[in-house]
Amino acid sequence: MIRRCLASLGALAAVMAVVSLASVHAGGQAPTAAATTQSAAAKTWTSPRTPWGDPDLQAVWTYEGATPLQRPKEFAGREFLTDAEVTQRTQAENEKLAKNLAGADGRPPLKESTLERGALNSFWLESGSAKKVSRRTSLIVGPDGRIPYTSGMLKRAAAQEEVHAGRYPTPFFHQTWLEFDTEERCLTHGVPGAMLAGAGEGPNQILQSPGYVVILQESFVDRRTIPTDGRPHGNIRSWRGDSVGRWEGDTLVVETINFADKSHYRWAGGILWRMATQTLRFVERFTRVDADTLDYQFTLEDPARFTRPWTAVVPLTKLSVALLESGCHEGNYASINTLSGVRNLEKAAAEAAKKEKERSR
Amino acid sequence: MKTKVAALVVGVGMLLAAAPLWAHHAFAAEFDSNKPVMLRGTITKVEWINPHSWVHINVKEPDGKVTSWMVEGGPPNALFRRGFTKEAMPVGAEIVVEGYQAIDGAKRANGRDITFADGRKLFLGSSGPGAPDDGKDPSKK
Repeated sequence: MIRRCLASLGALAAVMAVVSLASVHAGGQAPTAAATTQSAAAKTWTSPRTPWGDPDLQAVWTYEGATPLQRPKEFAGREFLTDAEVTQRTQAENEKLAKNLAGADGRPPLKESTLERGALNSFWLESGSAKKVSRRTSLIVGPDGRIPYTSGMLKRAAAQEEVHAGRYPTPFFHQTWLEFDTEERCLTHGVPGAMLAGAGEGPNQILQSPGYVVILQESFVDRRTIPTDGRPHGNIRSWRGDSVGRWEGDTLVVETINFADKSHYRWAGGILWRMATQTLRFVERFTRVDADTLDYQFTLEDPARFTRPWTAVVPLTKLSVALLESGCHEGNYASINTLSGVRNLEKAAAEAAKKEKERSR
Repeated sequence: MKTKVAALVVGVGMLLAAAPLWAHHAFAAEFDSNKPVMLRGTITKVEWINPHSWVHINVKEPDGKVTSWMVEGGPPNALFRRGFTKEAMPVGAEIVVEGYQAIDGAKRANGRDITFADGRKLFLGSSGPGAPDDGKDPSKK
């Protein structure tokens, strides 16, 4: 039958255990080697300039790394991997790629499935090459390497993990389409996290003109227009906030405030941190460190959600592709299917409750 | 091989190995992890639409009755970058789908894996350095 290699899939569990440490949230990727490598590269590489003299960041960028956003418990207190761990992770990523390329042959039978159910269609999204391994144990820098959520946010994150684990909560949400998450509604990827978009969401393209930087995000035809001409922030709140940029040497620094607090992440637990609240101050630093690598650093400061500001360092890779059209709603069957699914869950729950009531009489 | 529809209702022990790579919508609200299905059928239509592609197949059940299923696939842009074209999954091709059925009981599934019935892999030869327009081919830079 189709699966021949499955006998050896006991080994897969071990591989997946390792891989799970490496796999990230939203298509993440690869801190090449953060600060050390970047500083070394910077010594031998000169950032190109636009005709009007700004550092030239214009390209299509994506994150292709194996480093997770948050530090796995196994690496608590440790910001970098050892040489042996780098080798092990590289092997694991290569094996994972080989298994994915083998399709069903490389996967365990459904009965033994270790599919991450939250990762819809992950089979389709493999980039075709192994994720890049860096020395970092997490994209988030510092001794902790974790998102410093407030206790209220930790509760929300835990509830969302339940949904990802296939335990849909009661009372049910998804009562109406208005309760769908921001991305389910095809509204926007949001600003925080957009640069980490992976194969499913499509890459980002940076365009520049005198006094402006524009960032296009493929998945929701999102765009950010960032003035760099010294103007102050405005006073209108919006989904994408109000970004103002400036150049510090070869680095573009962008500060975004005035988010509208409309973004909604009810179940998408891994990206809860992307919520754009009115109290969020989001600062990004873009530095091209070689022809194909953009060092992207971001800091989120939001006392409503985090106990302190936190920073992540993300090496983005240049792609030689063009952005494609992405009409998110053209076939968003999930809207109808989800509402239908939830009505079905409600019906089943009501019947179960009725039976229980009759039994207890 | 015999054509068959195996509706495998099993308790699936999930490890939840990793955080989601990408999920445009909530799996738990739409598909039933307790209803894994294996379908062998003939492609009747492929919808190359956002945010997910959908593959329509006709499945011949053991009693000879033909049932139409639709199977959710990856986003078209991602598939394109993996080297997929409309010729990659032609109408009439026989495929085997493993996935999870919709909660509402419709003949609709999330496609976990798809393989051609003759054993060919969907991603055959399209991966690794040199994959069409994946940005990895140094000669294209």
